Amino acid sequence: MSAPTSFALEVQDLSVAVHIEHGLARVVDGVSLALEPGQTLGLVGESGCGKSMTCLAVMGLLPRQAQASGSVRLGNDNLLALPERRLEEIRGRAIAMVFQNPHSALNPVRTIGVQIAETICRHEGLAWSAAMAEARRLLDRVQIAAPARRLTEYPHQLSGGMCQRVMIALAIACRPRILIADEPTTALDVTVQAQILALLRELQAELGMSLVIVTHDLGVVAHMADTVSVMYAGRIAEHAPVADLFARPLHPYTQALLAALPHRAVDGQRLTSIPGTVPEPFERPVGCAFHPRCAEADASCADRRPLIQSWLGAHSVACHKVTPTAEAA
Amino acid sequence: MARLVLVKLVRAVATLLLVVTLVFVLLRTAGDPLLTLLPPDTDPGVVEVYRERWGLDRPLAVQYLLYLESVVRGDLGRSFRDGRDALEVVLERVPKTLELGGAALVLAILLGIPAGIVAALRRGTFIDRGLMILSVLGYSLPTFFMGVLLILLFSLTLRWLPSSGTGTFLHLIMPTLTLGTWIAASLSRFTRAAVLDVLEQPYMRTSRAKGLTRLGQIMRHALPNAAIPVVTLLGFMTGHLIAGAVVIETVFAWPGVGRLTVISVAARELAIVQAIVLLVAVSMVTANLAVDLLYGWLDPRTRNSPA
Amino acid sequence: MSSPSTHRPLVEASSVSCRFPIGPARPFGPKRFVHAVDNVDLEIRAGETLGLVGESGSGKSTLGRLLVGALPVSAGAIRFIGEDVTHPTPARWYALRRDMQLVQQNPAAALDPRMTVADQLVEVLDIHAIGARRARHDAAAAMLWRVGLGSDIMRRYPHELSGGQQQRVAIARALLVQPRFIVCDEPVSALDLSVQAQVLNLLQDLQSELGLTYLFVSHDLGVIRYLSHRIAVLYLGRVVEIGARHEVLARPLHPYTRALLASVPIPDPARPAPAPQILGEAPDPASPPSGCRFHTRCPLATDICRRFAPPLTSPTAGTHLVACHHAVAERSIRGAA
Repeated sequence: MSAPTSFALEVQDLSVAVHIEHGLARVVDGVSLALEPGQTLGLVGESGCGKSMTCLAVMGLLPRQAQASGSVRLGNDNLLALPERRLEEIRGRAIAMVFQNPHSALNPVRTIGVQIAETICRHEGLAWSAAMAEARRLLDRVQIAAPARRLTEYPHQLSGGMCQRVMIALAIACRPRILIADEPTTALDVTVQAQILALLRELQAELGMSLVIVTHDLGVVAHMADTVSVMYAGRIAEHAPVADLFARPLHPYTQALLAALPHRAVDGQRLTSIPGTVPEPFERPVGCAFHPRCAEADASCADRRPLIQSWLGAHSVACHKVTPTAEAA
Repeated sequence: MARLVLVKLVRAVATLLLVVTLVFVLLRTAGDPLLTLLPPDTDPGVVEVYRERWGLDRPLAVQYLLYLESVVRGDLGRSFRDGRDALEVVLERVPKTLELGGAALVLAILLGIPAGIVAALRRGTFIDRGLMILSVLGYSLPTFFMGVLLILLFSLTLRWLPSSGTGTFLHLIMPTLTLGTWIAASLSRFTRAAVLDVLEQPYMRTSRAKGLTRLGQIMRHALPNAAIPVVTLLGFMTGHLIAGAVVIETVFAWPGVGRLTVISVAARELAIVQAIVLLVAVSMVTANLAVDLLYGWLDPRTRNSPA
Repeated sequence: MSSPSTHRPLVEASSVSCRFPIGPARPFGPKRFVHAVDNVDLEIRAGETLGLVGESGSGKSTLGRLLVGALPVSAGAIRFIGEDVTHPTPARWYALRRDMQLVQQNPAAALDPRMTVADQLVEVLDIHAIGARRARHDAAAAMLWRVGLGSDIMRRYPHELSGGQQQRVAIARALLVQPRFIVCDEPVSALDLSVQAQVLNLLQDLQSELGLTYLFVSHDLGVIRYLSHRIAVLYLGRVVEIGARHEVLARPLHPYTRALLASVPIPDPARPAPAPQILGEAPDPASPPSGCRFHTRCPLATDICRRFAPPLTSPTAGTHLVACHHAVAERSIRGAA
């Protein structure tokens, strides 16, 4: 990691353990992230890699069966150590989150206006009418047509794209410093996705927010993120500025992921696939989690877990096989 | 929206018609009704006289039409014992039944719904387990048993409350307790399930992410959604009230419709039983209709024209 | 890739429509329908993969189901090797299952959770009385091997398999009848990227090995780009563009295709970010716009677009067809690469 300046958000050695019938599964296993003010961090990985759980842990929204350890620093506070009451004040105001399925993330029996206004009232103490007026302004800002009418409508009357805009309006209502977007466009059409992502970029610039965007889509990450962290089986495999990650991926998993993209395929040739499957959290191999599927693995990979090491300044990777001499070659 | 209401009204009337017809069919065609109506040792000649007098020798279709006509007029027959109009006999018992039923329902709501909510919020803890055990006890214990226990305790041993009959507020306490706790037991389980279901929903996580206080999340988001199935259930329960709590009314000699049902069936008072059945049907259908319409108010997703 | 034959098409759709009834707008008003597929003409040649692209509400899944006989058409005709199969008799419909199959998006839902893999595969052979009864178990195992799964999978239940394995079982099941035509409806959308590659490779290998014809339905342009010989673009139930893969991707003629291609984020930060091309959301399929259905969101829309639906024609009298009044005029302008 780069020399610590004042990060907007700093996650250190975060682990999340979940009680399941097989025992204790560490769905997030020693993850460290750093978010610079005004920057966008892309958190990339396939399903089950723990990226969503990481975000929920940061927000303090983990389900009851899950426990988090480590530290999540927001300003001077460690969010994991705060009492629920303090977290309730921070959520929605200093740090906000947008979820994957916008329709189901909104209360079906309350109007859009009420759902936005109540956040404003909660954190900013405005009178109800002032809060509703602000809600209207927010709907307009997220480019929803006829905002006044939408205030009195219900989520089921809106399309998926519009619901996601409402969620974004909700999230930015109190001008948070950090916005976490967990697969915000996965459930949307690609043309709507382009609109939503552009909106997020605009809002980020306007409000000076730091953005964490969680996705499995490398295309989205390529154009939204300033830095990217790649997760595999609950651990960070690699972290780099976005151009670096795509140009010179160092971790074998990242390399394999990029090679498996249909976009990268050459005509007539097969796609490069990664043999095997992602291990379940309770079946994680000893040593490097990726080594059973890695073409370059050797004995040391099965022995010791590789720690994330800084590499060429901002680029860090957790792999035994990446050494200075190999890189220079 | 108007179309919705119209359709439901038509359905309600159609259901009532069906019930009325069913009552007719059951009473007229299951064996010779006269044998049911008259004492077993009646002279056959007298039986025939009554057959003609009551129009039971007419063709079935004619009987049906006459029957329909009399139902609409409100003439459901007469009691054998005192010759009074059956409907009148039943209706005069209704207020007492509603008094007991209403009080019990209010008690059940005050006890059961908060219990269900608390149990759901404190899921898995002792409070939850304790409340659910109480609930299981509550509806497993036969009501007559509970009623008799209460009488033993409060009437015979402590002599605080009268054991039967009606008249003062004191008379109302034990029957209400018995019936109310029984309803509360199932209501609390149902409420708990409804709240648990809502707490799993993604929008609850959003409300938490917004920074609402726990109370805010529950009051503004969880309960309005959980209310939908609970209010529906309450609506049906209300419709059922008028049938009276047969067992409890008997145990406490409460002069309501339930007790009347027992007496009338034993005495083969056909007209009165018929009147009770029809009354209960009307009540249930009306309650159904009300719940249906209420649903639209509670759940905005059902408001616009159904696809 | 093997080059497709240029004979008479394997599957043909002529003026095919499929509509679903929905409630009337006013009480007791006239009946309304959603035209999920509206007057589509399409042909698929033997040995080729036709990629069907579109967003939600485009009707691509419905069209796939229509072609394979899983949904009845409301109007139009479907032909398979020249034979009309629009309204087959039940016996004929069953016989056709040996020629055409469907692989769906969610493999877990497509497999019976209460039957082992072996049972499900053998069941297919039993239904169609393929091969000797004693040999069916072995035939199923052989097919599993061909899709890259070991015989230990035979005894397992679907929930014990990963998503990629489940999808392979679904593919194996479809292949057991030795069909000529397979409709793949978003078969890899629910799979992780690394597993996607495995399944896509498999589909391609099977095509060259067995001479299969695919209709590949997807919203993922990257996958379509990789697998298809030709591409058809659907919007609100109508084909707006169809042509050879390179043609459609490099020189899209329809404004919607251009907007679609420009919206896809390329996983390469050096390339420009996708700028939102079209405004707003897709219109309600129950009350689609008049004339050209895209005119409400099209930057090139003029009066003629509001009034008349454009026919699907080729501006160059070639095989690249487009349904746009302005395509002819713009033929010489290069679209987004």
